Amino acid sequence: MSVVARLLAVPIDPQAVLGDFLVDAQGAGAVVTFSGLARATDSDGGRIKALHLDHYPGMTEASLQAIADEGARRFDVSQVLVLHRCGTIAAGEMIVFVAAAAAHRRAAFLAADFLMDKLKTEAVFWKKEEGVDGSRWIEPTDADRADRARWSE
Amino acid sequence: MVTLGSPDTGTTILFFGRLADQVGRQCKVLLPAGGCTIGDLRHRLGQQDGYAALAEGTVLASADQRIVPDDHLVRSGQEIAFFSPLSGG
Repeated sequence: MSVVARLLAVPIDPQAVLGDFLVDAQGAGAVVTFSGLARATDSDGGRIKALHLDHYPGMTEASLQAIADEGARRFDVSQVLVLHRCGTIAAGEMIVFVAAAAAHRRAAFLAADFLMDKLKTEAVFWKKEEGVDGSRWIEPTDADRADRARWSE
Repeated sequence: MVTLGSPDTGTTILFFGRLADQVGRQCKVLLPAGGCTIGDLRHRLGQQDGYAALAEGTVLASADQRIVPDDHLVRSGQEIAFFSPLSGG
C-alpha cells in the first residue's frame, strides 16, 4: 500500500505524475485519476485571472495526509496519490491531482470521488478568486457540505 | 487579562484566510500566567482596535495546529491561530 500526499508551490506536471503512478501501480487492474483546474470564470460569468490558496504551513500538509490515509483505509485500493497546489494559480492551471489504484474499478472510482469531496471541505485552505474587477474569498457552499455528507458513516 | 504584546514579547497568534485580510497575518499577545480559554482570548483580542472581525461566529481557532472549541485552555508558548471557515481545495 502506497499513500502519498504532497503540497506543492509549483505547477503540477500531470503527464509525469501519471506516468510515475502507473509504474508504481503495476499489478493493479484499475487506475482512476481526477484533475481539478482553476476556472477562468466565476459563478457570475466574470473573468478570473488567478486563484490564490492561502494555507497554514504544517497543518495543511497534515490535513492532506489525513484525507489520503482515510481514503486508503476506507476503500480496497492499493495506491493513493494526492497532489495539491498552494499560492497563486493562474486560470487553467491544475489545482489538485488525485489518483487511486485498485484491483477493480469500483473501489478506485469510489476512492477518488471520496478524496475530492473531503479535499473540498476539510483540506486546510482558504480560497480567493482574483478577478479583473477585484478579489473575493470563496466560502464553502451547501453543495460542498452535501457532497461530504454522502460519505457519513 | 489578555493584552497585545510588543514584537519581541508574548505569544504569537496567527491569522489565515479572509480574517487575515481584516486583522493582519499575526500579532503578539501577553496571556495570563495560568492561561485562558480560546473564547476568552477571542473576546479580549476582539475588543482591541482592528480585531473586531474575531467576534464573527464563523471564525475557527486552533491550538498547536488542531482545531479546538472556545472552551479549550491555551497557555503561553502554544501555537495559536484564528481563521475563516476552510474553503477546501
